[in-house]
Amino acid sequence: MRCPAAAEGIYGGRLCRVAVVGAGVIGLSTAVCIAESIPSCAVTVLAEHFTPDTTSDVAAGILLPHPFPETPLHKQRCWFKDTFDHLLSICNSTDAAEAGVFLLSGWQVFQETPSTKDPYWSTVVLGFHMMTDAELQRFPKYKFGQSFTTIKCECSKYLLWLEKRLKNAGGQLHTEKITGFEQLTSSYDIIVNCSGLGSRDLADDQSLYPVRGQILRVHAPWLKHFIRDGNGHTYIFPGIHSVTLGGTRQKHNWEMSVDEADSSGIFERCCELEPSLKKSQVCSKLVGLRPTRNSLRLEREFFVHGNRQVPIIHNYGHGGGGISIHWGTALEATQLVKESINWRNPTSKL
Amino acid sequence: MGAWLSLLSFSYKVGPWWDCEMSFGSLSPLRYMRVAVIGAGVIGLSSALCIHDRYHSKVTPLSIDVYADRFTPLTTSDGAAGLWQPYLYDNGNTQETKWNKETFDYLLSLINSPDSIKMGIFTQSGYNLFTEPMPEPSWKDIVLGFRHLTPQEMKMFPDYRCGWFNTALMIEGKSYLPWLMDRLNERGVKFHQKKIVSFRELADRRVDVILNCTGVRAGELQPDPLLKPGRGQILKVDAPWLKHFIITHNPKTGVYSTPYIIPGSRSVTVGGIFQVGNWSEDNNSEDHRKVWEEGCCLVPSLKNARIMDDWTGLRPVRSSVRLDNETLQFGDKQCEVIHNYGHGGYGLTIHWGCALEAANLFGKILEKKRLTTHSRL
Repeated sequence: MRCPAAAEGIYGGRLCRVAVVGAGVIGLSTAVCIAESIPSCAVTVLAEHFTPDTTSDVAAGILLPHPFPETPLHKQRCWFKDTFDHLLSICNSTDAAEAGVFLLSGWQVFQETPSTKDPYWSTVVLGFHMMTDAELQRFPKYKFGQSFTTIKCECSKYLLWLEKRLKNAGGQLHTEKITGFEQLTSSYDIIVNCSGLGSRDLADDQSLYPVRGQILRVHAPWLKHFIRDGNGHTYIFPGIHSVTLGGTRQKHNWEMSVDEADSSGIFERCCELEPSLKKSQVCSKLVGLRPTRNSLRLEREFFVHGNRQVPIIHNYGHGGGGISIHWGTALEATQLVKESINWRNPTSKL
Repeated sequence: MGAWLSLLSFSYKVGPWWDCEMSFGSLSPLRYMRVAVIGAGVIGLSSALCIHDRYHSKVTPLSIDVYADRFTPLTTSDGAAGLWQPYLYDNGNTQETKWNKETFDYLLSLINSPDSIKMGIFTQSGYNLFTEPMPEPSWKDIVLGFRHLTPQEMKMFPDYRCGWFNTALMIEGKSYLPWLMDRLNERGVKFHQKKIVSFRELADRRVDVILNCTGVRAGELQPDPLLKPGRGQILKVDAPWLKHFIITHNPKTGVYSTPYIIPGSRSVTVGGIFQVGNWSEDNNSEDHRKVWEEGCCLVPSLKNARIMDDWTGLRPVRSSVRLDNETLQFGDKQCEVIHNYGHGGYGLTIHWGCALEAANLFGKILEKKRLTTHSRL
């Protein structure tokens, strides 16, 4: 097994060509991670959609983990913590405004006391504690609540900032819809699949399904806190220039157009939580399909095409928690890429 | 704001301000009261509203006129960031803590009301930071969710050793003052753009009660060696990604002399100037530089924010709020004066409790004059 420093031996003196499929938060962060930490790689991002047309652009971008029923809890916590810590250092730097990353405090409230009062991520976010009775008085229908400070990562800015970081690290971006991995095997040595819901076709993964989310963006600059109903169906997430109101969680629903009944439902539920919203103006309505799977797929597979065996690192199925764990999964995918550089194609001659 | 300026110029065109009194001349002095409020900042307007609402049915007619040289948006209250937060310790002045609490509870009760946004009221959480451990503040049980910062949180502020987090309220003068003026206008209160130069001026016009809410310039009406200007200069910055207030403290240099950042509904206020004795209302470039550099040190992301404006205001600093009444004699005329000034850097924070107390003092004056409806002749 050759050591990493001798990569030039495997690739005949040239850089290892890595193709990252997908330009949402997963694709771009993974590409940046690879380009910045593995100098012997030449990274190209290939995608049909770039910001502002990705699923990530619709997401509010609040760091609050989404549960993966079949992924071990310690992994979920590790990915979340890596992402939180990474974004926290951006929050407190001069890059924060350009990156669209900032601290946000608020409350998660429950009509019924949850079974887990202290979830695994409570020690990752800042200042987590139970709401006092005085704090709960503003939410008369709710019995229990958690108060904490987390981070909001606005993808409309963050993805542009990641694209800039990628180019600074020598990476490239191409608009191209990849319908099969065989399109890439002759030009690339390693493929990283961050195609989200697209993996249903691209990786032939029928266990992946959409959970449709609709949101409203309203103008309400006096709102400085997030409020989320613990059942996940109603949430208010103030952003830089607008407030995201949500939402819906419609499994197996592929409908991308705005549903007016959903819009009214969202607005009413949010106004109940925060009455001042009645005075807000709706700026836009958007739909995103969360790429959902029982467990996140983060692993290496070998794709055989002709006489070539190309490693594919899959990094998809983040559901409603993509932004919350993106950096953690990017780090893990990068590690798999590092290990794959050492892997020798059994057909190559030395 | 524009509507109010045109209203004032209209009343000015009507004629000399004392002419409107002629129609009241025929009423018996026991059947009505004329109240003059001097000052149209948050103190003057809220006191007027409180007194009107409590006594307009007990004294008919209760005529209230507000006189001021400056109206919103040109008052001290308009420039203030609007964060509800008293100074850290009341030093035994529990009455002020009570007034602060009454104000907080009152504003909190309005937070879910339909008018909250028009009034400029909303919640905001944030940080108070210290270089050495400090006793907990007098207001810790008034605000919501008061707690000490965790070591993880303190890492975000490497120049500070410890601090607190809590949820407080914002009450923005630029919205609140026009709202107060609308309420007063609905109640028939009249406004006059005029600088009152003596209490006698009003006594001569048969004003029964004067509410002296003249803030930092109260000394011009009656010398008060305890009242001094606490000059402040702030920057208004466009940084909408900032969602928390951050107030730093240095017990050696005094309150608001070290950087603070308070996001509002339209801009972020960056400050850290408190110069006692300085009457200059001009913006100073050295102060601007200090505020900007120290603010960027505290919050690095500010470096890329656009500065929209500078503003200088004079906090009406006094060892304690003056809220009492005095009977003044001018020849054969007697006039009651309720003083309500000297609220320093916490006028918005304490205004409602003081307005309630001013109304209490007004009630005592009424009792003295025995002016209730069942004792009318």
